[in-house]
Amino acid sequence: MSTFCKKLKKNNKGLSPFVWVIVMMMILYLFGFAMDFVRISWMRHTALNEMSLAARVCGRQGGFDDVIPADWDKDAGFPYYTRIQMLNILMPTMKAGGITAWELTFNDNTLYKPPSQLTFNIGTPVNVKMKISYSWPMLSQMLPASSGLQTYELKTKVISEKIIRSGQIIN
Amino acid sequence: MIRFLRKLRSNKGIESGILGLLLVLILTTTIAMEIDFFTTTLAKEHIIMALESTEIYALMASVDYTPMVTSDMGFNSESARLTFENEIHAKLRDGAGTFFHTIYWSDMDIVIESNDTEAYIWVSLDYSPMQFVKSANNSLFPSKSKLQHIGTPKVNVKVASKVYMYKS
Repeated sequence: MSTFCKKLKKNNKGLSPFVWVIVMMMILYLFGFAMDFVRISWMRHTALNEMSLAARVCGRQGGFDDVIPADWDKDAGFPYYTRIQMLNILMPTMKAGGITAWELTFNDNTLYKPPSQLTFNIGTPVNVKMKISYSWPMLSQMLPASSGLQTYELKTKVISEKIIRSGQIIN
Repeated sequence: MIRFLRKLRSNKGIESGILGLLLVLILTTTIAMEIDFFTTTLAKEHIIMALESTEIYALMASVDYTPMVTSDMGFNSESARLTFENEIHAKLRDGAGTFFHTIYWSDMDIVIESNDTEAYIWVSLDYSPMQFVKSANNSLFPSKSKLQHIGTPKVNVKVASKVYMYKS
């Protein structure tokens, strides 16, 4: 056995293909990681952008109703986005960003819930959360351990400011 | 010595080894540069977005809502500063798993000014983005004299943001 090992050690003529295979595999892993990393970073960026937009609109108009509120100051020149309109704005962008599974909540109430839970009184702090699911599609082809969906949560806070904008007096 | 060099010259294994090493180095550096370019761009957008949204939150959270009349916002500058500092620390992190190698919190400048009808908050912050290919002076590779800096982040980026709030 010892002699066989010594012979094997001395015989390094066929080693280079193995080294090349290992090096190429490492480069492929690295390339797969880079591609997935860029894709996931872009998804995260898209989600952050959309969450910021929805959060700002939520703060500005005090949440999302299904119809334009009667006391909304239309003369100020600011449009009111209803819950459905907001969803219609977010959905195509999220889809274009490669995000298929996502959830946007305002004080733990999802945008899909009835509008009564999505309107906030003036000065109310609103915790906005965006959860997105992502995967490593290229890397999971080479490393099975990296398969499966993972989630990422983004958070921000806004204050409902509806009445300030419409210029009313509160007592 | 000359004999040794001649032997070395005729050794094809060394030649292919060096070529292979160069190829691997070029490929890995290219991939790292691609990631760096992407993370640097995203880091800047991310930090500006975080500053702006936190500034808006700090401004809005520091208005006296009860009772409020349109002639005076009842804005509290000190409360806005505290709210901003607390929220930005909760929102931005540096280190592993983020876009930022270091955020220089001690160099953060906050200016808040207000009167009865308007207020603004101006913030500037320095950070160094997470990078695989280290650079001493924003060039692709550090020059020979700066090789000692490899391994320490030297790319500091300054961002500033100003948000106004006013009574219409």
